Amino acid sequence: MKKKMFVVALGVIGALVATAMPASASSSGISGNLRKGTWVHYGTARTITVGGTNIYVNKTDGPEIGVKWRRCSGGAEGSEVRLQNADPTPRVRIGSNFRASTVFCLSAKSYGSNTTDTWNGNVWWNVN
Amino acid sequence: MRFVCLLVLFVAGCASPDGYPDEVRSLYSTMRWPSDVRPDLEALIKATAPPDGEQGFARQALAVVNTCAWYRSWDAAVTRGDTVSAASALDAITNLVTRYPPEGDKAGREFVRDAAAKAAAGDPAPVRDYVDANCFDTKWA
Repeated sequence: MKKKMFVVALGVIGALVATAMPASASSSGISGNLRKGTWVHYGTARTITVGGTNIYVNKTDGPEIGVKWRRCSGGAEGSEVRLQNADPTPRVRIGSNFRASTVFCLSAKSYGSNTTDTWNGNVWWNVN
Repeated sequence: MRFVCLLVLFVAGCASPDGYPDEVRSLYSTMRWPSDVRPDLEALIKATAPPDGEQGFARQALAVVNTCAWYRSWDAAVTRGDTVSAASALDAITNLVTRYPPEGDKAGREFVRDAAAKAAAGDPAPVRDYVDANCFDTKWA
């Protein structure tokens, strides 16, 4: 009986994960330089290929930071989202309901005590 | 061969000591553009400039805008029945544009390959989606 319940629970969890993360979900690690109080643009372009999906970020190392997405070709960007000093941070949504084929880049700035710093984390896109 | 030479220049970058505007102008001049669709370079520099004008960000901005330019050129040529221009643009869409997304952007690489295949089959939908999503407010020269 316990085994059956365990299998059912695994199935439910699997279904939930499958719902939240479409087959085309994408992710990668981030390592970036930071400046205190000043936005730093990062040069890696990533493409949204599933319309209506979102971008999420977390931080695994580094000071408190602000993060935002921006369109690599200019003209549009998201609002700043703060990631606290305690690591790892929860995964937070920094943009939502993107149009398919949008090419986005990331920017970050530090709220730590050092003039310059670094951070590490992860970015997920094509995610519901 | 010409595509390969241009790509090598593009990947290597052409940084100058005069900051982001010169980086954009220098890299732009090494790239292949359609004769009928070119960006307003000063407007592009203004729209994409990093906060402190530092170099290193021209490549991805120009890659997206160059992709939009070839997509727009191909779509316009097909619409007006200009088979010669359409074939030239399709060649760039297939052999140049597909090399822009970085290795880590697998979804992006698949998208541009799929867009090229669909354009070759006469389907403009992915090409138009890309332009609408990334260049709807780009100023063209």
